Amino acid sequence: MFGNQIALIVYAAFLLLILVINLLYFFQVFKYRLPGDASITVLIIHMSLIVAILIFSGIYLNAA
Amino acid sequence: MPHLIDEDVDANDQAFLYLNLHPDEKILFVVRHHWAGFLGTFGLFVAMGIFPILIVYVANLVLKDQIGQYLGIIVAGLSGYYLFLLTFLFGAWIDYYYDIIFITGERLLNVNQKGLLSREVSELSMQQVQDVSTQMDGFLRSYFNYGTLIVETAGHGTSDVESAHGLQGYFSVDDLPDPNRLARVISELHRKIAHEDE
Repeated sequence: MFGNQIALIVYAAFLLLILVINLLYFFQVFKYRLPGDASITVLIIHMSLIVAILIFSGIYLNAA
Repeated sequence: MPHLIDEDVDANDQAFLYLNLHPDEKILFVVRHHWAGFLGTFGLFVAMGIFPILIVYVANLVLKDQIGQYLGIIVAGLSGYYLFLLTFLFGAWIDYYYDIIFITGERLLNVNQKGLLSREVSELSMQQVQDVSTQMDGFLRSYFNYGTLIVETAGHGTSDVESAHGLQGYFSVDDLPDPNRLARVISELHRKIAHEDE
């Protein structure tokens, strides 16, 4: 039980780190994108994939 | 190549403020690195994406009965791995896509994205240009028409590939689309400025 809690805390810290890095990347994109470039399209694809992974892994982990 | 070389860009747009252009300076070309230059990195990430799926597949074949009890750990591990992979793929893409060359009537500006939140802007006055050459080696570069642009200058230079052209006096940029055309444009701009000065 105690081991599970530590694993959950480590996993939450990892997700937080990934979130912070992505926020910094978003900041970079919005600050330095040029008119008409592909930045927003790629950003939307990236965000969709991240959200898809989080949703599907959440569903699996709840079921398991 | 509409998104690799953009011409006649509106220099008054807010997006170009950080370049500190002179009042009458016009941006003639905005050049990005060729997408084929990113294929190697992308291929590596795809291979890294397939690898854990193969491991899980083999583990499923070998440990058929026991794998069910580790499903939670496997799913959490895989999702963490793919989140990490996607984040760093996006970072690598920003590194590649935000390396931009601006050719104005007076200068050549090289914006070099260096990892997270770090970028370097180096500039070369067209007056300082002494010689322009290009380098395209290998099948991919010849087929997709991209390569290295090397501008020999009277001042200090910068380089993407330090071992090749990192010597002072060379301003070189790797993986540029249609480098011969860009070399011709830079030569013509240099000649025009030299004539105006005479």
